Amino acid sequence: MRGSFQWYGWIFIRDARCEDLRCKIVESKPHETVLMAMLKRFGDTVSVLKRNNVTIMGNGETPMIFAHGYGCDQHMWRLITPAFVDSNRLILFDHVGAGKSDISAYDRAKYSSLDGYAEDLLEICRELDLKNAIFVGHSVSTMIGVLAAIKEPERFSRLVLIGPSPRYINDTYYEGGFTRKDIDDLLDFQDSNYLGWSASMAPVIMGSENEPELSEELHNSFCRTDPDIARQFAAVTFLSDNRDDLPEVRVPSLVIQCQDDAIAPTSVGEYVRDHLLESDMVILNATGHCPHLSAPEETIAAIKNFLDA
Amino acid sequence: MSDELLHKSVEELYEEGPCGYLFTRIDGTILRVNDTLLTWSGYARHELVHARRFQDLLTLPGQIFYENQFFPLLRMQGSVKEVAFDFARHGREPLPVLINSILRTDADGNPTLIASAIFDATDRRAYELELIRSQRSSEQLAAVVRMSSDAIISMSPTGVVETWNDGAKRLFGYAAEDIIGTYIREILSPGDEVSWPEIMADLREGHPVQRDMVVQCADGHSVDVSAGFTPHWNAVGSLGSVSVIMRDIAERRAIERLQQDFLAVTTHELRSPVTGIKGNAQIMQRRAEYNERALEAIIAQADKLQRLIDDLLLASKIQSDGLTVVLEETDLTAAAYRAVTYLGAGEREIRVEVPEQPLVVFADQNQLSQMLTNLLTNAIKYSAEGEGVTVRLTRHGSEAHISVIDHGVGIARDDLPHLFDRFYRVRDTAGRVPGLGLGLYICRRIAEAHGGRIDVHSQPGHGSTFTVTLPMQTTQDR
Repeated sequence: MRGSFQWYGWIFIRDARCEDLRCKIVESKPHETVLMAMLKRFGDTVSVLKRNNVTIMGNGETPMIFAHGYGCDQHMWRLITPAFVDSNRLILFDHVGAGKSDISAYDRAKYSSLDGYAEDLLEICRELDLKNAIFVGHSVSTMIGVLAAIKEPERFSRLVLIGPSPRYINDTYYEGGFTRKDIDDLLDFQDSNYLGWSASMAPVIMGSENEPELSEELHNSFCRTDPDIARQFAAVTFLSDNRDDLPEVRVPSLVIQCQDDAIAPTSVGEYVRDHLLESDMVILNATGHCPHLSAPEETIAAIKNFLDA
Repeated sequence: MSDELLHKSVEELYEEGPCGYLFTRIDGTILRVNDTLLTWSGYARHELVHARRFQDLLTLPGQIFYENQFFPLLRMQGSVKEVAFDFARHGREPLPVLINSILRTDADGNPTLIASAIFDATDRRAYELELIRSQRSSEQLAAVVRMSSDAIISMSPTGVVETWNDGAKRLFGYAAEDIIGTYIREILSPGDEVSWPEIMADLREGHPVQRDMVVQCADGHSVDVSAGFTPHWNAVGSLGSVSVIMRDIAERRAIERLQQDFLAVTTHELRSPVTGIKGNAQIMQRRAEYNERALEAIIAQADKLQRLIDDLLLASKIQSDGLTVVLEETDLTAAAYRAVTYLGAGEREIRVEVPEQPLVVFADQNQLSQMLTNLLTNAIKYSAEGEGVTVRLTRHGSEAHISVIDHGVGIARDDLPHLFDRFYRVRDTAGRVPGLGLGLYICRRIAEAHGGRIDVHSQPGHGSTFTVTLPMQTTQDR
């Protein structure tokens, strides 16, 4: 008779934010009972989903995971998600420190580089067993997605990178758009908005009659970030350099570039496209850095074009 | 009052009031500005309306903030209240402002217009910076107090402990939560020369007090501290609180004890050769005759006295001025023979082993001979009767080694690390502790002043080898 058996159990998880049941197969290790394994798995599952305030919606098969950029939270995808909710399974989350993520999970050492955030993204993917997912990232999350796709490329079938920049500070033969002094000024500016921050970043809504569904849920949490975490995230973002990572990506990618984007200028978008192995770039008519907010239809069209190709 | 007057007043208030009004498209293109905002910007109207975006009027950090946070917030919430920006003014210093904005949508719900009210926040920014600055400096101060190894505490005018830093906890063992609220008197005693009421009286008059005191620690033992009390006044002009810094003076006390010991020992050591000299002289006086032995004894004791005094003087000089060396070319072989001869062969056999080639170093002749004399004297002192002592000179690469080897009692392992410390004295075979404890200290300082070092190897019962290493400099190095 052979040594240990492996037992299998099932956990059904109903998450308040999810719209359906999710089924998880649990495999117990030889030294634990099924019950122990199920309880442990349940604990882990709940904690990753809770840590990043993961929201799951949609009726489709192909998973699509959205990663917000510096400054806000998953609500910034609100205007885009309706276009994909029927055809895909949408996964949204908040980076630790943003939105309704679990701030107690913030670890200065872990999040002192973008790798910490990439690890979180991969944990969510593992937790939900995502494979061949479409990744949509904005700003700094484009590089977070790049790092994750290098580590576990089988999890991603496509990368959509909105306003990417692998490095913000100018270098010899590289125009990131900013000098070191600019970034230092930015970090000081962060501090000066700190005192005004809590007043302004949790404002009372001033009469938006046309959008009544912007409820309680939004008005205190959107763009609310712990000031210290915001400062470190800003430093990590704007001092990062991921140029050498670009050529390692093995997933087909799309760069969505706006005109007149002070944060990720067109030349930087071109640099990203040129250094990714398999990539395309589309320049929108929209200006600024957040086309998914300022020109959602154009953005949706660009993404759909890419996915259908 | 006519409608026209009211209308005109509204217009004027809109254009010239204390607030800047701004209307832009969703992408930030400026559609309308009032006169106040125009003045603040430093541009002409045609340079703004349909010509620039609102973002272009901001400093670079502000632009990043606008794209990453301000616009998303506005877009998602429909309004933003009191966000701080810096207006990059044309040809002038940036103006700190606060902005309140509303997003206007059309009938279909599409956003079309951003309407903003902008306030000059120069004063507010100044207050904020002041607040941040004073927060930072008080955090720094708190950090200094926290990290200090001294005990830094504060107490009320009646002596009740109000704050207690980590240093105090480490020194005395009491946790902050246990001792705050109790009287400091319960653990801190002033000693005999002064009383608590006298200390408090001094403090009330505004005089800081510095006293040596004794603290009763949590585990029962006492610690000697030097306590500095500083009074602080409150707004009303009376004593508000007293800060106390306490430093453990155990080390200072140890040094004081060491100095007292040293004084006692020195007096004893100096007295004994003087007694010998006097005694022998008196013998000669009483017998009124020339006595060879007595005279030899007198000269020997006088030599010993001279050496003691030389050591004392040198140690004192090292302490105050450091050791100055006058270097000249010295043949170590000759120096070794000189030192041995000076000590006199007497009852001991001192063997000198030298290499074929002369060993030349740059050395101060006086100090070199003093060092060799000290080492040889020690070797003889700690050897048994009739045992020989060896002086061996060798060359190792670019270093010259002078080894003084004895086969005496050796040195205990516990003594070895402290051997070259000032005032360190080791028990001899008879259990006495002779000497000032300066000889080896002086040897070490001399060796170091020449760029060398001194080491010892010893086995109790078998003897000791002291090795001085000196660099051999070629003339080119000088």
